[in-house]
Amino acid sequence: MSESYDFLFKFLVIGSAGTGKSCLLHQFIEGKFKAESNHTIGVEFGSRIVNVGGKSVKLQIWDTAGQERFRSVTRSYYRGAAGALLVYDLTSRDSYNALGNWLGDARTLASPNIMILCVGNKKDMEEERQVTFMEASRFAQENELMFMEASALTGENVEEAFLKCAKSILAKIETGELDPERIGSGIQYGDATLRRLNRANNQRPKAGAECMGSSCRI
Amino acid sequence: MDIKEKLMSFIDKQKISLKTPTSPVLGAEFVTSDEFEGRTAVTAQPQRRAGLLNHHILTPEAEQAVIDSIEALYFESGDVDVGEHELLKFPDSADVHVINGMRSRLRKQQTIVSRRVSDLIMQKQGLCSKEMERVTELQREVIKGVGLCVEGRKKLAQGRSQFTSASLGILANYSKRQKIACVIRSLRMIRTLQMTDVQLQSLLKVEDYPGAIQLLLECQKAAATFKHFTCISELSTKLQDTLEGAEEQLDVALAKVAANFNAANYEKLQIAYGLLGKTQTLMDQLHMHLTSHIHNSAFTIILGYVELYNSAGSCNAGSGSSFSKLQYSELCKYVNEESFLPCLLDLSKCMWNVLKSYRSIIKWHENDGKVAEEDVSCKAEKDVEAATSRKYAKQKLEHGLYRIWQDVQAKVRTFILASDLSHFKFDDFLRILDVINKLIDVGECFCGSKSETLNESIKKQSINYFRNHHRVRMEELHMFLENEGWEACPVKSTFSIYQLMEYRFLKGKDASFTQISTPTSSPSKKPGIITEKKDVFDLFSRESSPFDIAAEETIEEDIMANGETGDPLNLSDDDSDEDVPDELKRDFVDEQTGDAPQHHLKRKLDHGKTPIVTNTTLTILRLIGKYIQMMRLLQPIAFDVMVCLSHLFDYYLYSVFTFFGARGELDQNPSRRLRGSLKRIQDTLILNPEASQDDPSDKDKVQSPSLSPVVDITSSASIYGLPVRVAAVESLAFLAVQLEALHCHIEPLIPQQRRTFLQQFYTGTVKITPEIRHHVYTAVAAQVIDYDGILNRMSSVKWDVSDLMSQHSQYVDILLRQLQVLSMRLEEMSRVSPIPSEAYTALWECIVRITNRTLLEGFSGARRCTNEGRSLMQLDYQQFLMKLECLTAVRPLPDRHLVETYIKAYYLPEGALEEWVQQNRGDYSPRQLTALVATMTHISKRTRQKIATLIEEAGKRTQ
Repeated sequence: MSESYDFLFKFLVIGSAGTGKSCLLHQFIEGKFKAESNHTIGVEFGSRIVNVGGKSVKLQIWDTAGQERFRSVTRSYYRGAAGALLVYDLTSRDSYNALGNWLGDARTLASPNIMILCVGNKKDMEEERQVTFMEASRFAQENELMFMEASALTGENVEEAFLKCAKSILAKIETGELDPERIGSGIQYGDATLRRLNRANNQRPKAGAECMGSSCRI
Repeated sequence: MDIKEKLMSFIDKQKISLKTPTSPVLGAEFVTSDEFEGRTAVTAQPQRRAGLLNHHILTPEAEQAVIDSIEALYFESGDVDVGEHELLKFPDSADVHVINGMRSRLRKQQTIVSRRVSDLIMQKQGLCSKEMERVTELQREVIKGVGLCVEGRKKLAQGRSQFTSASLGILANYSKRQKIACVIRSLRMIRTLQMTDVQLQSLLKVEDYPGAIQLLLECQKAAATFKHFTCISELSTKLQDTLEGAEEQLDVALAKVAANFNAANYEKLQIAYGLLGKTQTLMDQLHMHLTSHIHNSAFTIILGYVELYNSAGSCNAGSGSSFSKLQYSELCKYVNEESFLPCLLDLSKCMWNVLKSYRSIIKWHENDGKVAEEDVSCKAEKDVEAATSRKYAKQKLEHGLYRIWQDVQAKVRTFILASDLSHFKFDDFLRILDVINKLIDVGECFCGSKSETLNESIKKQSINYFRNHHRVRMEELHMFLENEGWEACPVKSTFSIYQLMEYRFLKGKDASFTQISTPTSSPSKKPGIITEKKDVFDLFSRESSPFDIAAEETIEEDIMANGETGDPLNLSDDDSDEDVPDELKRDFVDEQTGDAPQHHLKRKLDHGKTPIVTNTTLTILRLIGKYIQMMRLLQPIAFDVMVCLSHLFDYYLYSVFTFFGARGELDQNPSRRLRGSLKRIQDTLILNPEASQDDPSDKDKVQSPSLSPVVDITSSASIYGLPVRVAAVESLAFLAVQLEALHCHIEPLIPQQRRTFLQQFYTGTVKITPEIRHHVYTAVAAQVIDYDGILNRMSSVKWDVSDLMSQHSQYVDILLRQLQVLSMRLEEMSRVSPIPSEAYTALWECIVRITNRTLLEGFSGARRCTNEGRSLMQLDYQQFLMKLECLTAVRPLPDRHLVETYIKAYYLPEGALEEWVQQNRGDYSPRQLTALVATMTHISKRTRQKIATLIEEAGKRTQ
């Protein structure tokens, strides 16, 4: 395979309709703003390999439809997501107000360790802003979310948002808080070799201990 | 003796005197005493004669007479021997007297003659002396004349020396001056010759090649005329050098022209070479330069990009310089993804320029030929040579067309194939293809070449790209399937695939679409170029090239078919179709007011006909749309794309079957066709988990998906996942229908000879979806009713009753009750998630079929049966049918006749039974038939035996 990566994270982009989830994803994947876009039907998908802290991580991102009628369809994608971008439109208070519902969905349907980053999109439309940074920041703090304001149009903070989320997941893996081997973690090892290596690493200390034990016996 | 000796000595003395011619005077003086005696006689003779003469003086008359008597003989001059004459006169007898007489006569004669002679002499003496005096005078005169003569001569010599040589000197000097003047002229000429060098250089500098060459040739000619000067040899070698230098310059200029055609310069060069008599060399050199230019510029461009990106990107700056030493093909491998397209564009532009130059050269020659023809008509036979060289040039150019194009192709091909394009974004890849296709068009225009090399490279890269693209898509699909919740995606009832972005290119473009898709083996071309068939070379002016616009415009217009979306009218139109705004608004309202989702569901029920699609279905539909687009764009590999397209559907079908259909292996095994299709899909598409990983054929395979654990298909609460199954099966059916509808779009894209595959795909896979439906619903139908319980209850019914029953058996009520409950639950469920009528019907068909089979099994379980018992069976079944017909609209009820015929067969007479068994043994199991015969008490043992063997045979045959 030409693609090689160390980890695969399953990501989710959720939030009310028209907040620019697909545009964020498009900007992240293609590096371009998708001017002409329609409402997402069901879910769409995108993936990209990013470099986080010296590790290459493949992000497998599910872009869900924001419209209420698709909620039941999109729910099945919450399961086993390692990270989520919870998107609201900072020019639309309604979309901000709906954050609670979306967060509830995510907490109940996704894995308990899911890393959620709240994104206030459309940062470029400063004049029409309805939600202040402080307000959203407080909401994020209260709900233990990371927070960022971004613009899919200019690309500001788009990459950073995804990277930040990936970075904190990676950090959790390194501290052992997250176990990639656990089913439903939304994390997979990239290469079989890496896994083997990891397993070997795990086994070696054990083997060493046994050796020591046996030598003690002798 | 004495006398003898004396004679001898006398003779000797005579001899001596004879020997020494001494005068007689001298002899007399030197006479010795010895000689005295002999000589005396001789010397005495004259004395005697003189004595005689003096004695006898005669008269003149006498004298005359004497003289006359002298014989004539004596007057004869000449050598006459007078002596002998006298001797002959001697008488025979010597008589001294006679002789003396004779002697004295003679003497007398002699004396007289002598006297006469002396008289004569005396007579003449004075005359003589007088004569002598005159002679002397003459002599004096002569001497004087000689003196004058000498003097004159002397004067003359002086005159000559004083006048002639001076003037001659002048003349000589004059002529010398003339000559020197001549030399000076020559020298001046030579000096100008030497000076021309400077002029030549300046001429060359201003690129006036014909002038320079003309001048040079003139100089050479002039030099040739002066070749007797020693300095000229040096000069002419210098001229030769200059000429060579000029030729080199010409060559350089030619190279420039080859790279960038300039009619004026080219004409100059033509004339210049013509002057050199090397027009043919010019053609050869020109081609050489073109070839090397193609090579060099291609190399330079790529080197430029490689160095640009490698010096910036990598730290090993030292390797930067080593790139220039690489082979072209090696170098091409260093071009990275980022720079590939601009590099290709630059390369194409550069190649375009070469081709354009070549084109212009040909055109120039054509014009030249025309002009020449006109010329020829005027001065007919003028130069045959020019004509032949023109012919040569023409041939060479015609030959060159293909060679140049081959060179260009080879360069571009090497470049294209050196990189792995499989990770490019689709748009970028299309852009690359577009560039190459344009290049192919250019090539066709250029020399009518089909550009096999480029086509092959396109095909190779396209396949490679598409394989990779497809592999990623299949992996994505696998992910989609594993995450799929199998819930119908709420789309508008009027949803059609043409509302999807991916299908917009089919809309309204049909006309042009079918036009270009007329099966041609040639690569995809833009309709514009085909229809117009204009010369690309005429379309683009001097600086522009078809590759300038390639970067921006074309993908918008041609490839992505996005051009229309730019149209505001279309945009609004399509947008409203794509997703329904009013629905959307309502959704928002729902969200705000917190309305229960029931609201939609009711609405959905109303719709009824809303297509059922899942997220995966949508994804596949989008992919199919994209693939069809790709088939259009990548026509050389359209078939390969089609195969991949079929994989998308196959994979979905396979997944639906394995998820929902495979568990229902209750009674009906999959048909041979379905089994075959599934086996084929499994073999070609699905990765065998046990197989070794390195199998190269597995590269294109995907894992078999596993059903998302979220999806519940086992609980009875959800009627064994009926809604999920409905979504799965109906979305598959929808997909199949869409594929059928797309058939007309796909077929023209496939090469004629490959269309059987398409046929097979449609008949073998797309058309078997109804069978999948059947399988999936059978899986549900087999679980919704407690068939075993019914069977149990039926086995406890007494069929050997003797009374005619008026009341049907209890099991019928239980069965009907279950069916009723099911019907209600279905009703209830369809309120939550729609069940389309096809699904509803199919499900009921399955249920009724299984129920009928169960009843049949139950009836055949009767060990003993009476006529009345048989009636009870009929009564039970009638009751069942009556109630069932209220529950379901399925008509005819499947397998109804099977049950009815079985029951009624009981009444058949012995004779007819055998025939019946023979006719119907395919429909019933041997056990059922045996049981039937066993209950028929009115049959003879023999017939029973016979029928038993018949059934046995039938049983064997079915096995």
